[in-house]
Amino acid sequence: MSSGGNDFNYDYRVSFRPEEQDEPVYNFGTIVPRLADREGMSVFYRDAGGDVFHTYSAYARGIDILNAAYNYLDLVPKGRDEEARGPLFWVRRRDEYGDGTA
Amino acid sequence: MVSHEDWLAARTELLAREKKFTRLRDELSRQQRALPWERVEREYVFDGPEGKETLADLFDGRSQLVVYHFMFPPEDDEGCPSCSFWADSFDANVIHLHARDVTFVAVSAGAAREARCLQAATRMDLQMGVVGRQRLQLRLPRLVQA
Repeated sequence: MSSGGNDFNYDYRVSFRPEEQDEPVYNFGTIVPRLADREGMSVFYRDAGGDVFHTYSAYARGIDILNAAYNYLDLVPKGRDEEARGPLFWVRRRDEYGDGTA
Repeated sequence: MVSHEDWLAARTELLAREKKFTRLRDELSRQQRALPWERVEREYVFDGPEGKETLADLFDGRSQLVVYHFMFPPEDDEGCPSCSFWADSFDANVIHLHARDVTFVAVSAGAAREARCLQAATRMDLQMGVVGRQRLQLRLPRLVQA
């Protein structure tokens, strides 16, 4: 184990040290994270010799396409219906909606 | 509200733009896949349900690995609600990804202490109960200090 074994989330730019969190360091330098962690996805390839390569990463709106519920909401009359209160204001964990009507 | 003929005319007009977008999307996907690769030079060790594993181990014998960067800061007891929302799109897809030589893992920064790791894992099981049955390999890396 190398001394750098604990830096995966920092190296792939989804965790930020305190001094970075108010700088535009997220999403390839375009977004101020404002948090210690942000969301994203990365893709890796391992060849027959065991070498590992980083081939892709996306963050923020770049991972919208991975969210099946959002893709459906985009096709109903009300859409995401988030303009008034901001993205994801309505989201709860799946066991926290109570009666199911949110 | 409009007549069916008018509805169909408007829908068909937009269909042309949708088809154009679909082809653009295909082209963008090709460009995403054609990006250059960079070799991963560092050794990362993750801590999860099956113990300590390297990044290469996470491939689980397949050649392609998708990592979802799940927001779960060490000081929190539960995973981010928004990432939990995204995670609800994971489970049903994993079996199909496996069939196409893709392994899927979720990696978070959290769970600094053993007790918290267990608590976090329990909550994850609640959030992603179906995930375990679908063999999603959810891994909470306890980050080893240098």
